[in-house]
Amino acid sequence: MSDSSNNDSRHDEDAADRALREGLRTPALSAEAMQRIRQAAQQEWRAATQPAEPAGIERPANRRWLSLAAAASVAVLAGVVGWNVFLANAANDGAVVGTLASFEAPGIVEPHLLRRDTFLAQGTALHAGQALDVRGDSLVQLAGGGNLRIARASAFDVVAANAVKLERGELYVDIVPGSRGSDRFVVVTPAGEFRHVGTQFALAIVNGATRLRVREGSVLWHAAEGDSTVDAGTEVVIDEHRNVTRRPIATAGREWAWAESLAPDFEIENRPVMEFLVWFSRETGRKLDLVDDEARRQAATILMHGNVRGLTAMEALSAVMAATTLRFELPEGAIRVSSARDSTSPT
Amino acid sequence: MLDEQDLIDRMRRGEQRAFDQFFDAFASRLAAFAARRCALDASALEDVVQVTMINAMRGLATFRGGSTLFTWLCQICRNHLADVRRKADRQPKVQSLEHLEESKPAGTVVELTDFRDPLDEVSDDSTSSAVRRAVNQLPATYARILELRFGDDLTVPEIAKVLQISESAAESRLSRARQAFREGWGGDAADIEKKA
Repeated sequence: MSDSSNNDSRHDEDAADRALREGLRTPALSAEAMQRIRQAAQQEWRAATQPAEPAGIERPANRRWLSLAAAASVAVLAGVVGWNVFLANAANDGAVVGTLASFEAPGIVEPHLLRRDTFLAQGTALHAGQALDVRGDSLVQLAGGGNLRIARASAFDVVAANAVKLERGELYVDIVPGSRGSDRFVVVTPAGEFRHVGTQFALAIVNGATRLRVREGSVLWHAAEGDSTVDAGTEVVIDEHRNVTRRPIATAGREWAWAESLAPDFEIENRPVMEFLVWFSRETGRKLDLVDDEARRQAATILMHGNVRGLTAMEALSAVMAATTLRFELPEGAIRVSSARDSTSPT
Repeated sequence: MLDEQDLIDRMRRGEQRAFDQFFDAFASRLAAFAARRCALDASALEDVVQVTMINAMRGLATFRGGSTLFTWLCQICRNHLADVRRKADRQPKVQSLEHLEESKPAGTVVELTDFRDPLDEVSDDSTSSAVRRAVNQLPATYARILELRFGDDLTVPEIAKVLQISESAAESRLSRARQAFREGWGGDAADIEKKA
């Protein structure tokens, strides 16, 4: 090989290598971003390697004034709206409202001023006095029954064993009628207090306005101006000047999709199809209609085996119904289930 | 060279220095790995790296040493990227049976353990896109070693460690990979040279 061809070969190699470097190079994350990642990872590492100090239970001295500050803010609000949640909770600081059941990472974070933030682990109890940031959609199993689903980018304070205060973002309350007895769950917002009456409802704070959407049952709304009951299928928006707008809304559809995606898994093993259908009906806001006697009989007597964990409600329905001879339709706002013999309801 | 098993043992014991070593060794490379596989803005990339690191810390007790730490991190990252794509695919939420039937059942979602793991070819820079396309055409072992050498800027001994092969094998594979890239790249190299 001549010197010239050697030079050409070397030249091509350099060009190819340079192209590879250029093509495979990626922009680096900023130092600030890397620091945030380090803090989050380190917090998680500590939680993972120090099980003796469960995340979220530790209550160091420097949390005390934060707790007091949170309590004070609630006290002011209570004074405004006249319903003394705070007074009821003053002796209740530390009471458990529920446990973190699942979340999309990084989940719920308890910010601290003088030390690193705490990333709450699955199973962590949420206590009255905690101020929490939600950085990934999260599901909280309420201690008194039911569950709370909180959208990412929300912030809330745990006020008591039966009350939270929504600071920003959106949450969804799901409490089966009659499941909590007289222990009413309360969500506090600048627009007042919202108490469930066996219900599913979503509360959001959007640009300073509070938006309530009731999907099932009813919600008792208490404000300085007085009490009001908001029934299923209604949206109420209270703006920062306390102007109130009401309108009817659908109880099924895209508005509820985020909450449905956070639904607790339905444990289907050895349970009748009927229980699954009732769960599906509640989770999707659709009215359950068992069209014929045979469908009712089968739904009540067929026991299911296996699991539908990790599936959305709609996917779970598809999986469950495929294992039976029942047929189903999804007209707007409903699910119609019929036996295969019933020729009036083709799938 | 980092003794990874020792590092993991010390991390499990809660040794702060071990965590710092781990983070310093892998975080930036992990970010580059993710950035080469998905078109992400800085904020989304930060989220991906953060979630991967958090999941890794949660799974620290389950790391068995069957692969290198970085390979393990990359697998966690791939799974998360798959989740991100899967969730994106699911928007808007299924509303009808027709949509349900068209959608991919969750149970059959492919976990990326045997995924070809291609580089993302979408780039503002046409040269980068062309290079990544060319690399994606290569056998996976060649693509991987080129990425380690030219993307992560690792030395041959470091590459050997990551791939768990001897240094001579790494040297040889890198040489073949470069040759294969040059052949695929072909005349484009001259164009690049002209631009340079």
